[in-house]
Amino acid sequence: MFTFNVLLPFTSAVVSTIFAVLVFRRYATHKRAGRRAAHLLLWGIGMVFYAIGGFCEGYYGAFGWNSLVFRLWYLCGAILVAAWLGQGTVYLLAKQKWANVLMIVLGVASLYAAVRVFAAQLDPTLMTASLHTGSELSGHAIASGGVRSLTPFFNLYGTVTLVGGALYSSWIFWRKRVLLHRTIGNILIAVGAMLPAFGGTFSRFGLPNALYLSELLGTILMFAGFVRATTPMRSEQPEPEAAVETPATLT
Amino acid sequence: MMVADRPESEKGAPPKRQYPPAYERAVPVVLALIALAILVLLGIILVVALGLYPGA
Repeated sequence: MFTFNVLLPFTSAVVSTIFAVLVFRRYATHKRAGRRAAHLLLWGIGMVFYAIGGFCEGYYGAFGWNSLVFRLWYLCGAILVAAWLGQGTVYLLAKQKWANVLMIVLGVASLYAAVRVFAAQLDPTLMTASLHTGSELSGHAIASGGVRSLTPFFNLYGTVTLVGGALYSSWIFWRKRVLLHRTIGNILIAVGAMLPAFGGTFSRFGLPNALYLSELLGTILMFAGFVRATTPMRSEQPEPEAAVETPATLT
Repeated sequence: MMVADRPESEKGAPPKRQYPPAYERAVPVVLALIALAILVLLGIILVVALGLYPGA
């Protein structure tokens, strides 16, 4: 168990870091070319949050409890990651004005969450008081009220925007029968983005390693989806200009 | 003339685009499953948000 609780999250952290670097490089390329790039910046930041979450989980498995590591894990891994990745998708698919408004709301909400998480009273013994075994990090360690209740709202926003956006993009491409690689890529991203949420649910039912395993599979699938979506298949023919210039294709 | 004999609907219309057959069958099924999974996930999040089940 110790090995899994260390290896799985540390591997997630490494994969997420590599993923984030590739996304930031693509952001820099787009920026230099004068193309829209805000979505890539936000996806990169989201993957950094993912990596921090994985690192904190691995740290806890290897070295035990540390309140700073826990707070970082809860803020980045449990609260912010899905919402910031989803905000990237909002910049990709929504009008710039609405994306900016939602970005301000998310920024303020994230700051509020950070203050609440870092001011919260912690009690690590509470992690073993529920179905959780205490071998994995869990928000049960937060003793202060009104902190854990923030999480579902961020994750609701993240799920609707990230998974919903990927699903919508896939649907658009499939309906037009264009850019097969982006149809497949977006499907992989949607499935990968949902896995940690389902893993968290299974974890709550006491299934050991469900969360860490689902996080690793999730980041691998999203990474594969990103690579697939940005790499045309050899069998594909060049698309007509009108088919290519939809907002959802600007990966 | 042969061209004039073609049905009106086919004149000038580009051939309908198609994905490879396997993708034609699989993509809509997968998209439907993902949509279903999103609904399940939103239901879980809602239950947690309402405090009916302990959150993360």
